[in-house]
Amino acid sequence: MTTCDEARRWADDWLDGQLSDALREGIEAHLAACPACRAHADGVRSLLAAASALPREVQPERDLWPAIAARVASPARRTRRDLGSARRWGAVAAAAVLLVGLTAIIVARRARPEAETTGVGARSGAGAAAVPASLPGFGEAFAEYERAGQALRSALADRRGQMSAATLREVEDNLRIIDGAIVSLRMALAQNPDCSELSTLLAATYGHQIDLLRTANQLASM
Amino acid sequence: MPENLDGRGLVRRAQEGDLEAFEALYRENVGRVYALCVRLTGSRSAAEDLTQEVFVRAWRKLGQFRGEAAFGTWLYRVAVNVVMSERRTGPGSNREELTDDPAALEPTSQSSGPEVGMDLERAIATLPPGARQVFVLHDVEGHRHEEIARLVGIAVGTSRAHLHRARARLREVLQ
Ligand SMILES: [Zn+2]
Repeated sequence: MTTCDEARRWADDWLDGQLSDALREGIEAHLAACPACRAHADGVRSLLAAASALPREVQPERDLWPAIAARVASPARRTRRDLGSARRWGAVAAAAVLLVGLTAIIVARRARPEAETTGVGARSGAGAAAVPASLPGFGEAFAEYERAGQALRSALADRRGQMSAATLREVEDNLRIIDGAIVSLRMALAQNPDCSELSTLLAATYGHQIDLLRTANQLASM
Repeated sequence: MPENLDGRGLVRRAQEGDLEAFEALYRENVGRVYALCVRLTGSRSAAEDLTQEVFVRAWRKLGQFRGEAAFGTWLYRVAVNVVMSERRTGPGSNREELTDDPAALEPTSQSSGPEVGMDLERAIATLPPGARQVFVLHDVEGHRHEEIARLVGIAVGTSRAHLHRARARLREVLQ
Protein backbone atom coordinates (compact mmCIF):
# COMPACT_ATOMS: atom_id res chain seq x y z
CA MET A 1 0.00 0.00 0.00
CA THR A 2 1.53 3.30 -1.11
CA THR A 3 1.15 6.14 1.40
CA CYS A 4 0.70 9.87 0.56
CA ASP A 5 4.31 10.48 1.71
CA GLU A 6 5.63 7.84 -0.64
CA ALA A 7 3.40 9.02 -3.49
CA ARG A 8 4.87 12.53 -3.21
CA ARG A 9 8.42 11.35 -2.75
CA TRP A 10 8.16 9.15 -5.83
CA ALA A 11 6.14 11.54 -7.96
CA ASP A 12 9.33 12.96 -9.51
CA ASP A 13 10.69 9.61 -10.57
CA TRP A 14 7.24 8.50 -11.68
CA LEU A 15 6.90 11.55 -13.94
CA ASP A 16 10.43 10.99 -15.22
CA GLY A 17 9.55 7.38 -16.02
CA GLN A 18 12.23 6.16 -13.63
CA LEU A 19 10.21 3.86 -11.37
CA SER A 20 10.25 0.10 -11.30
CA ASP A 21 7.00 -1.56 -12.39
CA ALA A 22 6.03 -2.42 -8.82
CA LEU A 23 6.48 1.13 -7.53
CA ARG A 24 4.82 2.59 -10.61
CA GLU A 25 1.74 0.43 -10.13
CA GLY A 26 1.67 1.36 -6.46
CA ILE A 27 1.80 5.13 -7.06
CA GLU A 28 -0.68 4.97 -9.94
CA ALA A 29 -3.16 3.12 -7.75
CA HIS A 30 -2.66 5.72 -5.01
CA LEU A 31 -3.11 8.67 -7.37
CA ALA A 32 -6.30 7.18 -8.74
CA ALA A 33 -7.69 7.13 -5.22
CA CYS A 34 -6.14 10.31 -3.71
CA PRO A 35 -7.11 13.73 -5.19
CA ALA A 36 -4.53 15.60 -3.06
CA CYS A 37 -1.63 13.52 -4.38
CA ARG A 38 -3.08 13.77 -7.88
CA ALA A 39 -3.05 17.58 -7.55
CA HIS A 40 0.56 17.41 -6.35
CA ALA A 41 1.56 15.31 -9.35
CA ASP A 42 -0.29 17.66 -11.67
CA GLY A 43 1.59 20.58 -10.14
CA VAL A 44 4.94 18.92 -10.79
CA ARG A 45 3.82 18.01 -14.29
CA SER A 46 2.94 21.61 -15.15
CA LEU A 47 6.24 22.80 -13.68
CA LEU A 48 8.04 20.36 -15.99
CA ALA A 49 6.00 21.58 -18.93
CA ALA A 50 6.91 25.19 -18.10
CA ALA A 51 10.58 24.28 -17.69
CA SER A 52 10.80 22.50 -21.00
CA ALA A 53 8.92 25.37 -22.67
CA LEU A 54 11.45 27.98 -21.57
CA PRO A 55 13.03 29.70 -24.56
CA ARG A 56 16.12 27.90 -25.77
CA GLU A 57 17.78 31.23 -26.36
CA VAL A 58 18.13 34.27 -24.13
CA GLN A 59 19.97 37.27 -25.50
CA PRO A 60 22.35 39.02 -23.10
CA GLU A 61 21.35 42.58 -22.33
CA ARG A 62 24.58 43.97 -23.70
CA ASP A 63 26.68 43.01 -26.67
CA LEU A 64 29.42 40.73 -25.38
CA TRP A 65 31.19 40.50 -28.71
CA PRO A 66 33.52 43.52 -28.33
CA ALA A 67 34.95 42.08 -25.10
CA ILE A 68 35.33 38.65 -26.70
CA ALA A 69 36.90 40.14 -29.81
CA ALA A 70 39.36 42.06 -27.66
CA ARG A 71 40.39 38.85 -25.94
CA VAL A 72 40.73 36.74 -29.04
CA ALA A 73 41.86 39.46 -31.42
CA SER A 74 45.51 39.50 -30.44
CA PRO A 75 46.06 35.78 -31.07
CA ALA A 76 43.87 36.09 -34.15
CA ARG A 77 45.83 39.01 -35.52
CA ARG A 78 48.97 37.14 -34.67
CA THR A 79 47.71 34.18 -36.63
CA ARG A 80 47.29 36.41 -39.62
CA ARG A 81 50.56 38.14 -38.92
CA ASP A 82 52.18 34.71 -38.68
CA LEU A 83 51.34 34.10 -42.29
CA GLY A 84 52.69 37.57 -43.01
CA SER A 85 55.71 36.79 -40.88
CA ALA A 86 56.41 33.60 -42.76
CA ARG A 87 56.31 35.55 -45.98
CA ARG A 88 58.38 38.35 -44.50
CA TRP A 89 60.78 35.81 -43.11
CA GLY A 90 61.35 34.50 -46.60
CA ALA A 91 61.96 38.01 -47.91
CA VAL A 92 64.34 38.88 -45.09
CA ALA A 93 66.29 35.66 -45.49
CA ALA A 94 66.47 36.11 -49.28
CA ALA A 95 67.69 39.68 -48.85
CA ALA A 96 70.29 38.44 -46.40
CA VAL A 97 71.55 35.86 -48.86
CA LEU A 98 71.77 38.52 -51.56
CA LEU A 99 73.60 40.84 -49.21
CA VAL A 100 76.03 38.16 -48.17
CA GLY A 101 76.76 37.39 -51.81
CA LEU A 102 77.31 41.07 -52.49
CA THR A 103 79.49 41.37 -49.42
CA ALA A 104 81.68 38.50 -50.60
CA ILE A 105 82.20 40.13 -54.00
CA ILE A 106 82.91 43.60 -52.64
CA VAL A 107 85.07 42.41 -49.79
CA ALA A 108 87.09 40.22 -52.16
CA ARG A 109 87.52 43.09 -54.60
CA ARG A 110 88.45 45.62 -51.92
CA ALA A 111 90.53 43.37 -49.75
CA ARG A 112 92.65 41.75 -52.41
CA PRO A 113 94.94 44.67 -53.29
CA GLU A 114 95.18 45.52 -49.60
CA ALA A 115 95.98 41.93 -48.70
CA GLU A 116 98.74 41.98 -51.24
CA THR A 117 100.31 45.06 -49.76
CA THR A 118 99.56 44.75 -46.05
CA GLY A 119 99.20 40.95 -45.86
CA VAL A 120 96.28 40.66 -43.52
CA GLY A 121 96.99 37.11 -42.43
CA ALA A 122 94.88 37.61 -39.33
CA ARG A 123 91.76 37.90 -41.46
CA SER A 124 91.17 34.25 -42.19
CA GLY A 125 92.39 32.82 -38.91
CA ALA A 126 91.14 35.06 -36.12
CA GLY A 127 87.60 35.72 -37.39
CA ALA A 128 85.36 37.85 -35.20
CA ALA A 129 88.11 38.35 -32.62
CA ALA A 130 90.07 40.30 -35.20
CA VAL A 131 87.23 42.78 -35.71
CA PRO A 132 87.98 46.11 -34.09
CA ALA A 133 85.63 46.81 -31.19
CA SER A 134 85.07 50.32 -32.39
CA LEU A 135 85.43 51.63 -35.87
CA PRO A 136 86.60 55.19 -36.06
CA GLY A 137 84.17 57.26 -38.09
CA PHE A 138 81.43 54.63 -38.21
CA GLY A 139 81.66 53.57 -34.58
CA GLU A 140 78.77 55.72 -33.40
CA ALA A 141 76.27 54.57 -36.01
CA PHE A 142 77.24 50.94 -35.95
CA ALA A 143 77.31 50.78 -32.17
CA GLU A 144 73.60 51.68 -32.30
CA TYR A 145 72.98 48.75 -34.61
CA GLU A 146 74.97 46.52 -32.33
CA ARG A 147 72.94 47.59 -29.29
CA ALA A 148 69.63 47.08 -31.10
CA GLY A 149 70.83 43.69 -32.31
CA GLN A 150 71.90 42.69 -28.79
CA ALA A 151 68.53 43.68 -27.33
CA LEU A 152 66.68 41.67 -29.94
CA ARG A 153 69.02 38.75 -29.48
CA SER A 154 68.37 38.61 -25.74
CA ALA A 155 64.63 38.94 -26.34
CA LEU A 156 64.91 36.04 -28.75
CA ALA A 157 66.93 34.04 -26.21
CA ASP A 158 64.07 34.45 -23.70
CA ARG A 159 61.62 33.12 -26.24
CA ARG A 160 63.57 30.37 -27.86
CA GLY A 161 61.62 27.81 -25.83
CA GLN A 162 58.47 28.94 -27.64
CA MET A 163 59.87 28.24 -31.10
CA SER A 164 59.83 25.00 -32.99
CA ALA A 165 63.22 23.37 -33.43
CA ALA A 166 63.00 23.86 -37.19
CA THR A 167 62.23 27.59 -36.92
CA LEU A 168 64.96 28.04 -34.34
CA ARG A 169 67.49 26.33 -36.59
CA GLU A 170 66.48 28.51 -39.51
CA VAL A 171 66.73 31.67 -37.41
CA GLU A 172 70.16 30.69 -36.14
CA ASP A 173 71.42 29.73 -39.61
CA ASN A 174 70.31 33.05 -41.04
CA LEU A 175 71.77 35.00 -38.14
CA ARG A 176 75.07 33.19 -38.59
CA ILE A 177 75.15 34.10 -42.28
CA ILE A 178 74.45 37.75 -41.52
CA ASP A 179 76.92 37.80 -38.63
CA GLY A 180 79.52 36.40 -41.01
CA ALA A 181 78.73 39.12 -43.54
CA ILE A 182 79.01 41.79 -40.84
CA VAL A 183 82.38 40.46 -39.69
CA SER A 184 83.69 40.42 -43.28
CA LEU A 185 82.39 43.93 -43.92
CA ARG A 186 83.82 45.36 -40.73
CA MET A 187 87.21 43.86 -41.47
CA ALA A 188 87.13 45.14 -45.04
CA LEU A 189 86.07 48.55 -43.74
CA ALA A 190 88.90 48.57 -41.20
CA GLN A 191 91.25 48.15 -44.12
CA ASN A 192 89.39 50.55 -46.41
CA PRO A 193 87.89 53.13 -44.04
CA ASP A 194 87.12 55.53 -46.88
CA CYS A 195 85.09 53.09 -48.91
CA SER A 196 81.50 54.40 -48.84
CA GLU A 197 80.33 51.28 -50.70
CA LEU A 198 81.40 49.11 -47.77
CA SER A 199 79.92 51.35 -45.09
CA THR A 200 76.60 51.52 -46.96
CA LEU A 201 76.61 47.77 -47.28
CA LEU A 202 77.48 47.31 -43.61
CA ALA A 203 74.62 49.61 -42.58
CA ALA A 204 72.25 47.67 -44.80
CA THR A 205 73.48 44.38 -43.36
CA TYR A 206 72.93 45.59 -39.82
CA GLY A 207 69.47 46.70 -40.89
CA HIS A 208 68.74 43.25 -42.22
CA GLN A 209 70.10 41.62 -39.12
CA ILE A 210 67.73 43.67 -36.98
CA ASP A 211 64.87 42.93 -39.35
CA LEU A 212 65.65 39.24 -39.12
CA LEU A 213 65.80 39.33 -35.34
CA ARG A 214 62.51 41.21 -35.15
CA THR A 215 60.83 38.73 -37.45
CA ALA A 216 62.24 35.87 -35.41
CA ASN A 217 60.93 37.47 -32.23
CA GLN A 218 57.49 37.81 -33.76
CA LEU A 219 57.56 34.18 -34.79
CA ALA A 220 58.60 33.20 -31.28
CA SER A 221 55.80 35.14 -29.61
CA MET A 222 52.96 33.65 -31.64
CA MET B 1 24.10 29.34 -48.93
CA PRO B 2 23.48 25.86 -47.58
CA GLU B 3 27.06 25.72 -46.40
CA ASN B 4 26.40 28.49 -43.91
CA LEU B 5 23.14 27.07 -42.65
CA ASP B 6 24.85 24.68 -40.28
CA GLY B 7 27.74 27.05 -39.81
CA ARG B 8 30.22 24.61 -41.40
CA GLY B 9 31.57 27.19 -43.83
CA LEU B 10 31.82 29.72 -41.04
CA VAL B 11 33.50 27.18 -38.78
CA ARG B 12 36.11 26.39 -41.40
CA ARG B 13 36.81 30.07 -41.94
CA ALA B 14 36.98 30.68 -38.19
CA GLN B 15 39.38 27.76 -37.85
CA GLU B 16 41.63 29.52 -40.35
CA GLY B 17 41.68 32.56 -38.09
CA ASP B 18 38.85 34.55 -39.68
CA LEU B 19 37.50 36.66 -36.83
CA GLU B 20 34.51 37.87 -38.85
CA ALA B 21 33.40 34.30 -39.40
CA PHE B 22 33.79 33.67 -35.68
CA GLU B 23 31.69 36.74 -34.93
CA ALA B 24 28.95 35.31 -37.15
CA LEU B 25 29.16 32.06 -35.16
CA TYR B 26 28.96 34.10 -31.97
CA ARG B 27 25.82 35.95 -33.16
CA GLU B 28 24.25 32.66 -34.17
CA ASN B 29 24.96 30.90 -30.88
CA VAL B 30 25.20 33.51 -28.13
CA GLY B 31 21.53 33.25 -27.19
CA ARG B 32 21.80 29.55 -26.56
CA VAL B 33 25.04 29.84 -24.59
CA TYR B 34 23.87 32.80 -22.53
CA ALA B 35 20.55 31.08 -21.74
CA LEU B 36 22.46 28.12 -20.36
CA CYS B 37 24.91 30.28 -18.40
CA VAL B 38 22.30 32.57 -16.88
CA ARG B 39 20.11 29.67 -15.78
CA LEU B 40 22.98 27.64 -14.38
CA THR B 41 24.41 30.57 -12.42
CA GLY B 42 21.25 32.52 -11.60
CA SER B 43 23.24 35.69 -12.18
CA ARG B 44 23.31 37.91 -15.24
CA SER B 45 26.75 39.35 -14.56
CA ALA B 46 28.23 35.90 -13.95
CA ALA B 47 26.51 34.67 -17.10
CA GLU B 48 27.99 37.53 -19.13
CA ASP B 49 31.48 36.68 -17.87
CA LEU B 50 30.98 32.99 -18.50
CA THR B 51 29.51 33.54 -21.97
CA GLN B 52 32.61 35.52 -22.91
CA GLU B 53 34.78 32.79 -21.46
CA VAL B 54 32.90 30.14 -23.46
CA PHE B 55 33.54 31.91 -26.74
CA VAL B 56 37.16 32.68 -25.91
CA ARG B 57 37.66 29.02 -24.98
CA ALA B 58 35.81 27.92 -28.12
CA TRP B 59 38.04 30.12 -30.29
CA ARG B 60 41.12 28.56 -28.76
CA LYS B 61 39.80 25.02 -29.06
CA LEU B 62 38.36 25.51 -32.53
CA GLY B 63 41.16 23.45 -34.03
CA GLN B 64 39.88 20.45 -32.08
CA PHE B 65 36.40 20.72 -33.59
CA ARG B 66 36.28 18.01 -36.24
CA GLY B 67 32.69 18.49 -37.30
CA GLU B 68 31.42 15.13 -36.00
CA ALA B 69 28.64 17.00 -34.21
CA ALA B 70 26.97 20.26 -35.17
CA PHE B 71 28.96 23.29 -34.09
CA GLY B 72 26.15 24.30 -31.70
CA THR B 73 26.32 20.92 -29.98
CA TRP B 74 30.08 21.16 -29.61
CA LEU B 75 29.80 24.72 -28.31
CA TYR B 76 27.13 23.64 -25.84
CA ARG B 77 29.53 21.07 -24.40
CA VAL B 78 32.24 23.72 -24.15
CA ALA B 79 29.74 25.95 -22.32
CA VAL B 80 28.72 23.29 -19.80
CA ASN B 81 32.38 22.52 -19.14
CA VAL B 82 33.25 26.17 -18.69
CA VAL B 83 30.40 26.77 -16.26
CA MET B 84 31.16 23.65 -14.28
CA SER B 85 34.93 24.17 -14.12
CA GLU B 86 34.38 27.79 -13.14
CA ARG B 87 32.07 26.60 -10.39
CA ARG B 88 34.69 24.15 -9.09
CA THR B 89 37.83 26.25 -9.37
CA GLY B 90 36.90 29.86 -9.93
CA PRO B 91 35.52 32.49 -7.60
CA GLY B 92 32.19 30.78 -8.16
CA SER B 93 31.48 30.09 -4.52
CA ASN B 94 31.01 33.77 -3.81
CA ARG B 95 28.90 34.08 -6.87
CA GLU B 96 26.75 31.17 -5.79
CA GLU B 97 26.23 32.65 -2.36
CA LEU B 98 25.15 35.85 -4.01
CA THR B 99 22.61 34.07 -6.13
CA ASP B 100 21.04 32.58 -3.03
CA ASP B 101 20.38 36.12 -1.99
CA PRO B 102 16.71 37.13 -2.43
CA ALA B 103 18.08 40.11 -4.37
CA ALA B 104 18.57 37.68 -7.22
CA LEU B 105 14.80 37.77 -7.50
CA GLU B 106 14.96 41.23 -9.00
CA PRO B 107 13.32 41.20 -12.39
CA THR B 108 15.68 40.59 -15.31
CA SER B 109 14.00 43.47 -17.10
CA GLN B 110 12.10 46.27 -15.44
CA SER B 111 9.60 46.45 -18.27
CA SER B 112 8.70 42.78 -18.20
CA GLY B 113 5.29 42.16 -16.71
CA PRO B 114 4.23 39.15 -14.66
CA GLU B 115 5.00 36.76 -17.47
CA VAL B 116 4.82 33.11 -16.41
CA GLY B 117 8.06 32.17 -18.17
CA MET B 118 9.88 35.06 -16.58
CA ASP B 119 8.55 34.08 -13.18
CA LEU B 120 10.01 30.64 -13.63
CA GLU B 121 13.35 32.10 -14.73
CA ARG B 122 13.45 34.25 -11.63
CA ALA B 123 12.41 31.40 -9.41
CA ILE B 124 15.19 29.21 -10.85
CA ALA B 125 17.69 31.94 -9.96
CA THR B 126 16.68 31.73 -6.31
CA LEU B 127 17.43 28.02 -5.99
CA PRO B 128 20.52 26.89 -4.09
CA PRO B 129 23.35 26.34 -6.63
CA GLY B 130 23.35 22.54 -6.61
CA ALA B 131 19.57 22.25 -6.93
CA ARG B 132 19.53 24.95 -9.60
CA GLN B 133 22.18 23.27 -11.75
CA VAL B 134 20.50 19.89 -11.58
CA PHE B 135 17.06 21.37 -12.31
CA VAL B 136 18.37 23.33 -15.30
CA LEU B 137 20.32 20.42 -16.70
CA HIS B 138 17.51 17.90 -16.12
CA ASP B 139 14.24 19.70 -16.59
CA VAL B 140 15.24 22.56 -18.89
CA GLU B 141 18.05 21.00 -20.89
CA GLY B 142 16.82 17.43 -20.79
CA HIS B 143 19.92 15.63 -19.51
CA ARG B 144 19.63 12.37 -17.58
CA HIS B 145 20.82 12.04 -13.99
CA GLU B 146 23.77 9.90 -15.08
CA GLU B 147 25.02 12.62 -17.43
CA ILE B 148 24.42 15.32 -14.85
CA ALA B 149 26.32 13.38 -12.23
CA ARG B 150 29.27 13.23 -14.60
CA LEU B 151 29.02 16.87 -15.72
CA VAL B 152 28.56 18.34 -12.27
CA GLY B 153 30.79 15.87 -10.47
CA ILE B 154 28.22 14.53 -8.02
CA ALA B 155 26.67 11.13 -7.30
CA VAL B 156 23.55 10.09 -9.22
CA GLY B 157 21.66 9.92 -5.92
CA THR B 158 22.70 13.48 -5.12
CA SER B 159 21.46 14.60 -8.49
CA ARG B 160 18.06 13.01 -7.81
CA ALA B 161 17.90 14.60 -4.37
CA HIS B 162 18.76 18.02 -5.78
CA LEU B 163 16.09 17.67 -8.43
CA HIS B 164 13.47 16.69 -5.89
CA ARG B 165 14.38 19.68 -3.72
CA ALA B 166 14.45 22.05 -6.68
CA ARG B 167 11.02 21.04 -7.93
CA ALA B 168 9.48 21.27 -4.47
CA ARG B 169 10.99 24.71 -3.89
CA LEU B 170 9.99 26.01 -7.31
CA ARG B 171 6.40 24.90 -6.80
CA GLU B 172 6.37 26.74 -3.48
CA VAL B 173 7.83 29.91 -4.97
CA LEU B 174 5.56 29.82 -7.99
CA GLN B 175 2.35 29.18 -6.03
ZN1 LIG C 1 -2.22 10.76 -1.23
